[in-house]
Amino acid sequence: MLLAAASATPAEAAVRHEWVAAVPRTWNIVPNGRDGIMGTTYDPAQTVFPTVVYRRFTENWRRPLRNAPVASVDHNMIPGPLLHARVGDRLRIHFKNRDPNAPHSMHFHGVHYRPGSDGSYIPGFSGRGGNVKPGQTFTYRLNAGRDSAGVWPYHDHSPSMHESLAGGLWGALSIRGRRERRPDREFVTVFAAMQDFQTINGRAFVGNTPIYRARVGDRVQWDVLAIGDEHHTFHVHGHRWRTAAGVPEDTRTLGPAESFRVSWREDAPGTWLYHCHVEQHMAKGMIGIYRVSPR
Amino acid sequence: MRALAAALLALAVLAAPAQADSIIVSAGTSSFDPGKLDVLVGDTVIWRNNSTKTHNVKAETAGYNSGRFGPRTAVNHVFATAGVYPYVCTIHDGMTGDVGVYPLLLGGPRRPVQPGASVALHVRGPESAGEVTIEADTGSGYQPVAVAGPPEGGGHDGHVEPGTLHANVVATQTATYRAVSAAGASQQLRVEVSAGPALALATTSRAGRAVIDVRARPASPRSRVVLQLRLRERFGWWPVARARLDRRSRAQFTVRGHRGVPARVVSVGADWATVLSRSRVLKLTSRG
Repeated sequence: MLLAAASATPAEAAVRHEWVAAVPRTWNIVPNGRDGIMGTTYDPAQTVFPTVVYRRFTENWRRPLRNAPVASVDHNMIPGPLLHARVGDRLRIHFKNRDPNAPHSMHFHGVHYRPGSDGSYIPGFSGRGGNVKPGQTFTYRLNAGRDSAGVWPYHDHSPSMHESLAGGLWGALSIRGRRERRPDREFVTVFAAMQDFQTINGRAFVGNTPIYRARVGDRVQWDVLAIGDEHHTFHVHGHRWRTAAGVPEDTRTLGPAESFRVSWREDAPGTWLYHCHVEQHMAKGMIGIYRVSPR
Repeated sequence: MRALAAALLALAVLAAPAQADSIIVSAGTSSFDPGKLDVLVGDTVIWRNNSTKTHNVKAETAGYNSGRFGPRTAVNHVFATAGVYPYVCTIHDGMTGDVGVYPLLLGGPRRPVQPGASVALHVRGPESAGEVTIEADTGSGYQPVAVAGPPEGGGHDGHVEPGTLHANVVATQTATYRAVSAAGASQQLRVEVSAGPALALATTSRAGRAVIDVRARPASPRSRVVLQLRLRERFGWWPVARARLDRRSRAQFTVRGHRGVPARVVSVGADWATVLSRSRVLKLTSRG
């Protein structure tokens, strides 16, 4: 990430430049080949498929980078780059379509922009940003307003949108308040159906889905998003958090393209399950483990 | 069949009736495991409820309905007639299974074998089955490739398991096998012949890291290989590094940490996931 303006203190707004490309990739939903809880095994013919993903790059797409720290997403590529900003920041998302076969775009939730940076395809109305052809580039100009604090999805909204969303061409935008303190751990958890599985960050079943880690005393933040056509219920064993009204809960529902963040001070060492509590989704892979070590 | 050479030529009939067996199926929360099962005529299938829910087993074509059975209880049924019997739990939608019942039951390797490997097959069946022939199909129909008989030397430790015959075949390509006698045919058994090279591993320790040298035979330059570790928190074998073999069909992996963890290298197809062959398993010895 490049900061064109100094941002030495949280109070100073910045212009944040990100370089992102859509790249073809072969993706394996179940790398260990099994549902570790039920013992069912899966063949690569059932779990591997060609897709297109967002990938973070250095300036001018010279060199690929990790999309997010291992601690936030566990594996790489799905979801796309974890984009950070603070309220008041301006974002310049430089996008290149490296998929030789189809147009793509980036459409952002939660931030302010003019129609030209909407990234969605409206025949006869939208500009190049909603239909970035193979090999072409486009820069989205976004602003993080006062009402932008939180976690938001971004995704392809070009004519390829439906195939792209089913294949993992989406990511998370995490915006903090101007003086908001960074958490010790930030976990990105995206619920989405993929092929015949229900996935978290494009992976299904314990061991394949992200293994999140924290220590007792850490301030942990979960960025939870849903992509696709279904509703999901986010649940973490052994933990609770409070709603904006102060009501404790340990399960929260979200629908297509909805998102939220919850956080707590970690005080429960052990290995815990987190999962979607729609039982059919859990049985099809929407479940993972969260490991908390003593301080 | 030219592709497959019979290695065992002993003629024999089943010497004694096969002992009826009992096979356990686990009833989980929403599925049976295994979902598909092959048994011999006269075998008993036991469904054990390992979940916290109440289930039932209804196999209409077998004329069997277990009724409801709760957690930590079991029900069973003896399948006396050959056929394929689908069954369901009528309480839980989508919870289904199949029992295939055969007059002969053919067993063999569950993992891919190297080209040219001698493959041991064994047949369970009744005394009345008579002479048992092993047939193979590599894509152009079944052809006899061996006749099953008692194991040479009386089997392991000179003991012959009643009602069991054996045959060895040389597998040069992937094929589907079955055992055939006057009593009928067994289920189909697919034996995969690995398309990948044999992988030899050598390990050394350098600067606190385990270095794994991989050599492939026959020569397979540019082939894809993946280092896998068996990790508790990954619930199985987990890919940690990938490489292409060099011009000498070699590759090298360096691993930090994971002392004592089982490791292996697999050759894979273009998807970097379909396993073509596997190395032996070794334990990492370096300190991280």
